[in-house]
Amino acid sequence: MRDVYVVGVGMTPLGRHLDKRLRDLGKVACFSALKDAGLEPKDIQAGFCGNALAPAIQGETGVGQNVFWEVGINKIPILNIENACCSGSSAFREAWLTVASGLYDVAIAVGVEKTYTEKGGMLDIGKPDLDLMLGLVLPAYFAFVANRYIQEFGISKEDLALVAVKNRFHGSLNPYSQFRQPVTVEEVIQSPMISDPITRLSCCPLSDGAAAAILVSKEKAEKLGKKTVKVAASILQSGSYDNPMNLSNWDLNIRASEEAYNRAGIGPEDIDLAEVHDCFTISELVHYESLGFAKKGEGVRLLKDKSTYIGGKVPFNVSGGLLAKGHPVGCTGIAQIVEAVWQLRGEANKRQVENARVAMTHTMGGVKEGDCKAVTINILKRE
Amino acid sequence: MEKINQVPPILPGIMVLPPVSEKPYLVAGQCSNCGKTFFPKKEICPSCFDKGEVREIPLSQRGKLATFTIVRRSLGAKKLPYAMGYIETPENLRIFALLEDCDFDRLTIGMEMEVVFEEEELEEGRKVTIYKFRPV
Repeated sequence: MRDVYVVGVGMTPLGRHLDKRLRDLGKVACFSALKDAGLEPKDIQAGFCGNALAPAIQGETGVGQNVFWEVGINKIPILNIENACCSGSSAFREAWLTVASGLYDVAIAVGVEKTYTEKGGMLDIGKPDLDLMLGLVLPAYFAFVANRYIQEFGISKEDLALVAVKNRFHGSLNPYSQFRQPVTVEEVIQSPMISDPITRLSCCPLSDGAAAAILVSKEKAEKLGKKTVKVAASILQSGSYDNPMNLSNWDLNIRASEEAYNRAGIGPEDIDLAEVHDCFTISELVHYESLGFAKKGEGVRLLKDKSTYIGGKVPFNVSGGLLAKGHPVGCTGIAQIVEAVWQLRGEANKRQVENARVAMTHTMGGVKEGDCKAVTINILKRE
Repeated sequence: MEKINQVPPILPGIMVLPPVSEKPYLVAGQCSNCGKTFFPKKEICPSCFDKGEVREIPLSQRGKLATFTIVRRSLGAKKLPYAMGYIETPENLRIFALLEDCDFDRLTIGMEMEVVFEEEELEEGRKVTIYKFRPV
């Protein structure tokens, strides 16, 4: 496999974009990434588009061709990728793979989604399985993990709320963030109960947005004078679906992170910042443990001693994460990578992590038999 | 009990109802080679592929609550609030279930639960038999 570099990134602010189509958002992200890389549309040799819900929400398929044509990218292989919340990060991985394998030298990955509707509400993921047919909804699934975790490790609801407090604070520093207002522990706990113990402020919002990244070979990166951010590992994994399942952790994350660390030749102690899938407060807490940053049951300590705050030992979700920055499903994985690249290049302004050299992004998608359908982990290194 | 028999299970093959069995029960699959159990039953054992045959076994009427939540806000047609959880059965399975006849404040992980069967009308209007668990 060849070394691959990220030479251009771009994204829209996340939030409500009712007046825009998927392609309008995708266009902005792709245009920004092309300008950032110093490339023209005709330089792109392969395109990958992550989107999860357009067929269900907008009734639109072939989103990639629609988006890429808006900036004049055509006559190349274009692939549309649906992999739940990992749709965008899976598109990024395919772009990495196509360059790493030597097939092409320049590839673009875009993630785009519009889940916000005027009536608001909750993501509908269909009813293909028994639990969903019976009435399982996404917040309830994460509430199961939260209640089990609370019972096993004796944490409080206040402890759990610290995740939302931290990420809302980080979001207040990010102009791309959907929510810019900090919140308090009391506000998180007292916001309307969705599914005990998950309150409204413990959930990520419905969001619209797009993000894009351009990946090139080492030679091309050198030519562009942008041999700065290298992809040290790009991992995609799926769940085990074994029964009995682990109800206080996702074993899939442990497997995927071990693979990512092995590929990158580093460990969690080498990571300077992480963008992880905090779809609900409990998720980030559990990720501290499954990604190797805390021992089982000890994740809360990283919040209490502010290790995962900006300025702490290893800041998590300095962008605001899904909880504050927003979660346009198929866009999320690439939005995390965009943040990581800005951080590694020292371009993150108020939320800049000092001397960031190694960044991790982690996305987790789908629910199946008490496990997840997909996890992607990317490790990016500044050279 | 005869009435319940006229209404098909929410998913074929997950339960046996009267008159086939006087007392209705849930059905899991068990691999003849490795002994692993599945609910709902799978046709092919993921560990053994073609080396084992997945046979039907009855699930115990009772189990322990492994985790739970109370859904307070949601979009579906279901009447809110409602409780759901995972039940740990003696067959070493954790199965998803709606919970009923329970005081929300008294639900605790580890409490003994038992299965009940009832009719429900799905959002699309179809009548089905579903299972739920309630505290013993």
